[in-house]
Amino acid sequence: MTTISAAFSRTAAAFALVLAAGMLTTCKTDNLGAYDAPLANRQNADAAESPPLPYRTGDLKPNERPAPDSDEAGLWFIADRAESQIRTSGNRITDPKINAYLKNVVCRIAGPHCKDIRVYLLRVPASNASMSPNGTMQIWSGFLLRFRNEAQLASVIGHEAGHYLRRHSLQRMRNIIEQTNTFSFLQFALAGVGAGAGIGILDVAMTGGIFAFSRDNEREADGYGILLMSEAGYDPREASKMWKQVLREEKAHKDAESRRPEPFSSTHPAGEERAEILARLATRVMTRTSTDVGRDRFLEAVLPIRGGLLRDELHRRQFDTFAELLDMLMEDGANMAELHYFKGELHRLRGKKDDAKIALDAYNAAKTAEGSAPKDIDRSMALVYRRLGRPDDARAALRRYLEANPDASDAAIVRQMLEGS
Amino acid sequence: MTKILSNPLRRACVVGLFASVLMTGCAGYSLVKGGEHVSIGSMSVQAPGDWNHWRGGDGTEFWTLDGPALQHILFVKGVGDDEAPWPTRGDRETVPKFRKGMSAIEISELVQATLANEELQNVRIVDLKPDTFGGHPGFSFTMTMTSKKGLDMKGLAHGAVIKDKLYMTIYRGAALHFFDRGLADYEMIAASLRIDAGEN
Amino acid sequence: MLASRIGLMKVLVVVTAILAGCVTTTQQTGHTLPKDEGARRIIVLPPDVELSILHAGGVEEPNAEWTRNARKHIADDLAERFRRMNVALVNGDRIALESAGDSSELQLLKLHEVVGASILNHQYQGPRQLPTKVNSFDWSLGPETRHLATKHGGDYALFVFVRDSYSSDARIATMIIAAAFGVGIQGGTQIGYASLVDLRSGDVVWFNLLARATGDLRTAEAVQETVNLLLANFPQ
Repeated sequence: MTTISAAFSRTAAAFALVLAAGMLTTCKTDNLGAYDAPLANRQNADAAESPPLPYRTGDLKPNERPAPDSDEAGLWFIADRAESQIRTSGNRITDPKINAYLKNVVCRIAGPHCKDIRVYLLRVPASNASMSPNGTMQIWSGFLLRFRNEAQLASVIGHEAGHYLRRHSLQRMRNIIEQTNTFSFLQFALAGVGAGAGIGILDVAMTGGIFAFSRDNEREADGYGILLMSEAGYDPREASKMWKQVLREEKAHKDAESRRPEPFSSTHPAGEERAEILARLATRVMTRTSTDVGRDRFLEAVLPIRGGLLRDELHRRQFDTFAELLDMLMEDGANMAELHYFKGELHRLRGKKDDAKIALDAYNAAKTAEGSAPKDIDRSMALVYRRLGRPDDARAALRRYLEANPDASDAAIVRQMLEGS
Repeated sequence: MTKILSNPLRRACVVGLFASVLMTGCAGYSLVKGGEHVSIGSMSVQAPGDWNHWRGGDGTEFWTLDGPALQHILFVKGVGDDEAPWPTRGDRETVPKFRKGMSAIEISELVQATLANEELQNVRIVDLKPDTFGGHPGFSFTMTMTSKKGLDMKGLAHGAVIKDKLYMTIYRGAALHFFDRGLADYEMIAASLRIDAGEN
Repeated sequence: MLASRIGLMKVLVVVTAILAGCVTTTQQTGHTLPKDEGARRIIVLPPDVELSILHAGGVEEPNAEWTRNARKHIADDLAERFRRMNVALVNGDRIALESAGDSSELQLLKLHEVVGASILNHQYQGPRQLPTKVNSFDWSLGPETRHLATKHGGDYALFVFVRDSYSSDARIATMIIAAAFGVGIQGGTQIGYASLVDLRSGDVVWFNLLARATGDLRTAEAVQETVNLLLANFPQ
């Protein structure tokens, strides 16, 4: 059971960078294979002839439920159970406004399937989204933070909707069962060394085959993403732009990694090709009406919760990528005070050479920039002044902090700091 | 399950499986009888009642009544400059680390970030105030948070920096029943704990 | 179509099953139900049950139809059992994560999940057994459980959890071939637990663990046999 559920959540991890690695190496010709399938299907919609589908899985129809005695029903059963955990999980963002906003975009993209797909925003500081067979869509908060507009969000929702419509989880489950059965002799060897009936070990042994299968699923879902967003009136070129943003952050991470040797530092040259193919697909599906980018609507929905999402990123202590992310968001220029503040926090917490000075400059910029910085900015400045050996400035900042936050829950310790050093 | 338990255990099991090494002395629980004095690093603690003492292969030490997922007292045993306050999973480069000269505010942020690294949600530090710990001037604070699965938790921590090393006890447990169940004992432990930082 | 427990039974004679010998283990406080029928009402929460097919390669595929039937059989069996015991059964179908109406009910459900896992981890013999628990069974969700008692009108809550897998024919074939080479491969298993919580105190008054390589939940008759074991030593 765990194997299957782990497997489908992994398939569904649509934009997982690991999966993306090495995906597109053979796609340099104009035959875009699985990428093109959604468009080709759409064009052949009226024709009775359609290509044979893998694992006898046709597209899900609106409101369709699996037959009670089918293997698909079993898959939905565990997906339903997982969904009740997600719905009540500790890291779900329940704020009604942002949830209503996401649901709205889902409905615009998924049209007649609007009711079949339930979207959950989870507080995880990483770029990912996923789709369960029963229509449970998860979007991680770190992904939301990295979109620049509604069209980019729509491209991910479209990709996930593609996984759902094409029943990729079911295809994957059947594929896994088939492959592990074929290689069931492996268990002799494993049992022989005392490992027992360890499906976990087998699963690892089989990952090559399973991953190879999912590449086509990912391509097909990419094709859906771009088609659905364009049909919904969004500018499909934003899908490729979003990938380039992800790559930019990755590159910042890789550059930092290359400065310190890491055995598993992975490279993703294929990501660039994916962005390129998405750009080419966009020119194919683009119409005169698919021009909506929706930056203002997106910012209006996300800015109220962005501070919390940036705080989560800060806790990850991935300073190189966080710096790159802040730079990208600053280029976009919404609530600059908040962004300068987090740049200050980044450098204060990193605490390497020159960081204290950079932090101080960032806090000062936050104080005059457009927007509003969190209320504890003076406390942060005081901590930096202490680092820099400027006790008078530190005390002045702490006094400002107490004035602005008379009921601060750390007031007692701040007063002690004022009396002391 | 908290990672505190599963991580050292998994490591111990892997070692045991492949090298046929006996697990005794490597990781496990031992009984602490009420009234007993126990040394944990250079801290000495007197147990008010019976507790279970976990010693992990990675140096993690905690006490629990009902298992770490329900409540436990974690001991931070004199952590030096550029060291993580306690072992957690994750990239060594990016786990939050203690730096000498940190103020109590910065240490509370360090604990908050380390707990967030353990996938605890909405970790809030409340009521950070000066306090004594192990006979030294230090600080204490309370916390609220939620487990990844959605169970509400509470926390209470005490600590001090002595000779540039961080010493702490961090008590946390389920907000329903289990936090309260060990709270009185924890407060006695935090109040009676002694630190001999001399030999460090 | 895929599974055959009879075949599995034959194979079990040959292979060394990991779970052989271990069937049920009960932990209890010695609690007895009150004589007063008005004070021994048991809320039965929706049994958390999953039946699956164990494929040759070791993948467990959940089967929705078997699972739905098993839930109904278990519910029917419990109703009949409690009627014979003069225990009023309170339907707790709505007390679940997907339908829990208020946050304190939800927190109690989440807490019971963690307590159940902690009992399995730390009560029974093994490297994670807690020394303070060796000679006693002392677990409680705390008196907040009174909330459930008042809201739903019950004195106890019964939680049931079962994971039941059945070897596919191909799995059985694999096991037979492996056995011929002297290698034991695990077939379908039935593992689960049930716990009874006294809602006045929150105490877990009875907890029973079931683990075996036999058993069936696909027919009403077989369910009766399984529930007999699952409720072994149930307080009277």
